[in-house]
Amino acid sequence: MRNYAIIGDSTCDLNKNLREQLGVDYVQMNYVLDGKEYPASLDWEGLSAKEFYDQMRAGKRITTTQVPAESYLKKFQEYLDQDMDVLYISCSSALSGSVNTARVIARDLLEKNPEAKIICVDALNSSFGQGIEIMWASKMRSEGTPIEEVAEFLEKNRNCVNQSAFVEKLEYLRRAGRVTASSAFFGNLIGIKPLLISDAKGQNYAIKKVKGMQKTMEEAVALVKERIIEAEDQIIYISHADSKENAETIGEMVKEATGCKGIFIDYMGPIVGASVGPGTMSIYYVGQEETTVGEA
Amino acid sequence: MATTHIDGEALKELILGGLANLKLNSKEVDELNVFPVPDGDTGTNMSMTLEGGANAIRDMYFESVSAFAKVFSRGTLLGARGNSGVILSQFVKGLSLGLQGLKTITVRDFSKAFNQGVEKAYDAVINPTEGTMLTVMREGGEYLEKLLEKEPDVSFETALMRLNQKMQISLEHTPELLPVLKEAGVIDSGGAGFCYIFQGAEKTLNGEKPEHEDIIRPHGGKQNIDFSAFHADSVLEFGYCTEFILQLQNSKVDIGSFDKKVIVDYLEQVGDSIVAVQDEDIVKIHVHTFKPGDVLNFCQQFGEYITLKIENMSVQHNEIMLEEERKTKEKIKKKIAIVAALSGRGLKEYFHEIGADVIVDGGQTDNPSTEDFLEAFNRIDAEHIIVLPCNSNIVMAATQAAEIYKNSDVRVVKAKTVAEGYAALSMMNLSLGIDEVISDMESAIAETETGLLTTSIRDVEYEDLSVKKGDYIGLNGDAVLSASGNKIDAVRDLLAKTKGIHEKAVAVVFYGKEVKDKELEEIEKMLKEDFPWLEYGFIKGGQEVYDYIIAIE
Repeated sequence: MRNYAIIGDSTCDLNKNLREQLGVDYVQMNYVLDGKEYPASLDWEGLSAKEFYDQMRAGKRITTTQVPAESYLKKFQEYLDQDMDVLYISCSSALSGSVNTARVIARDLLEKNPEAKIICVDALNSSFGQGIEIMWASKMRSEGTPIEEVAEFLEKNRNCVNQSAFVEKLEYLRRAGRVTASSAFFGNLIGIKPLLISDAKGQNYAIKKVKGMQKTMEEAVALVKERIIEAEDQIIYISHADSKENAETIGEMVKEATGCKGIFIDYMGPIVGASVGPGTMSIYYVGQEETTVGEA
Repeated sequence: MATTHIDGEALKELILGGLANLKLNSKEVDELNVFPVPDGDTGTNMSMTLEGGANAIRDMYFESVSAFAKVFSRGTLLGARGNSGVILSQFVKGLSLGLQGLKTITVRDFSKAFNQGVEKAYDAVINPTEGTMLTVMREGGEYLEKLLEKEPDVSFETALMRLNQKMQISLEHTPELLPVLKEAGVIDSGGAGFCYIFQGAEKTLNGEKPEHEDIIRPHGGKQNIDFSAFHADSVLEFGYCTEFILQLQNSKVDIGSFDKKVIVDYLEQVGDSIVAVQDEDIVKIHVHTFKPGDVLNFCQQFGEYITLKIENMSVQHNEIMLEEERKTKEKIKKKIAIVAALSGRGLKEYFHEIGADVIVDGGQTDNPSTEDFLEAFNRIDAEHIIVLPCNSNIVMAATQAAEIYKNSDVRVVKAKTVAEGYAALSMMNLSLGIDEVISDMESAIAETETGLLTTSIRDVEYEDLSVKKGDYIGLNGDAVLSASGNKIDAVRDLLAKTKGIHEKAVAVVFYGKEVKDKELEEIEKMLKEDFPWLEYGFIKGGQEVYDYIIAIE
């Protein structure tokens, strides 16, 4: 059996240390600030996390771009050259079109390298949701599971990776437009925070509105408690857009509510962060299969 | 004279007389205000409600009391505005039911119908409060029955006189039953309005019909001038509709030999659509002209003006066009549609942005009628319509409209303030079912406190607060929470005294028409310093009366 590389992208929010432990790599998207393009580094090369979110707080508009075709080509080729296959676990196709580019590039490469395998799996999640799937893949690989079986497993179980998230201010969501809900839902409301899940199609879907930060944190934790499965064996992952204190508070709350094995907290990377804005908090865990499909 | 039977036409006259008397006194009724706040125009609301009925019957001839009552009741129902108006319209409805099938009526029939009216009026109110219009009418009705027991053949003249005496006593007793009245030193305004109506009817029966002439009959009660209809580049196409009553003066002309023809001849040179009526020393003129100033100067040769009205007809015309355009516009198609009642341009625009589909014009000082709500419902094609009245005095008119309307399931969510209306809309999630949407709205309202800041219109002692006329006062529901000559202090104290302020998370400040940016900065600074745990935001409401409406959630 050929060895295979596991690759994520800029939305998987796995830092260098984690990536090294897991033996995984990632391809970079880009973000644009003041007309200048920066690679969306998960290790905050370029702007630091703090600088990045402060720019947004100051009202700077940050836009994001997909993974360039050339980056896929280079990254996939790099592993093919080492006689390895490639398993790419992408950001939810409902949030980024990157996976389609990857599939086109993969097809081209496979024509030239008929013995190789490149499998692109749509994670239908982002941030640590996508990250958890990458961790699953890494673990299965270490147990000797063939690449096809891993891909199959992910496609079967990806909706069991659940998200419970909320934003601090609605205006960033409105600007980025990457959430499913009616426009009135996101009117210029003050103190309202939508509770966002990643639905069965990988869209960020606002399932309810909550008023005030304290109540919102309570509701986000209540959702985790309601849906989590086998909490005691799980590490729950929390990503935050420069809101460390709240993340730690909510970490304590989650731990107490679920009795989970551990909590891991880190910054939300620049791509996800740019579309939800500073103050956003997102909890990822394994729970009941998500079947809800949001409608606008 | 002793009247024992009344027919449809006579009853019509009595009611028109009652309405005229109410209108003559409506300003006084408006001023019977519990709160030192310029609102609750009870006299105006009751007049407009009855006017709705009067407009329906004025130009018709009625064979029977029964036919009259039916038409009058329907008109009153549609014209109902304000809580006092809705109660009055329900009284009329009951009265009308009691008169069904009768060609003429006796005092006994009248008494029976009156009491049926009382019953309906009580039904309309969820928690009937004594010391209000309800008490006055109930005691009046009970008295009529007793009177008939003692004097079965009593005439209408005597019955009305005694009824009015009894109701007057009852009215004067209202402050004893309702502490808020006593505290404010007033009698109940709705009860007063009710008494004026029957006093007017009594006078009419005795041949002294009160006159109250409206030169401009209020069209639907409100005059909404659309200023955008005539702008800097508009061309004066239709001239001015000019109406006036001229009092001829002995110092200027020989009134005995004056002929209106001299005016008409002149008007024919400068205008058209001329109507001229002369009644001895009074000349009433209607003319459409491009030069109203010339007309006025000309006619002033003969006398002085008693009333004057000049309107740019391009504006009227455009208004009609706008209205037509609005009516023919496609209906709003939705599963659940939202109707809110608001005044103030900023508030209307904002509520529209956050999800209200149709806004009914009206608020604190200009309550919309039942008919206004029905018109709004007619613009919607939805399975369910949710109504947010946004004012406690509008809840009943909305509820009445909801009961009448049959094309959709209409639910009134009892948002009694703008802040509660905001709270309901802000938590609305239309992907849920109707019952869930409503229960979300209701719990949002339950968690919201409304703070209002206005200026006191008179000196008042309220619990431990001593308020001077012109002071800023902070209100919450029925309570005056703060009073100060300094506006920022009044807002701060209002918030500090708001129930559960330390458990609240959000304050949304709707600022009024008169508020300047500089003041907002001070308010913001105060919020940051004194209420650091609150998330806050400012919305330009543009409302009248209240400089600040604050939703504290």
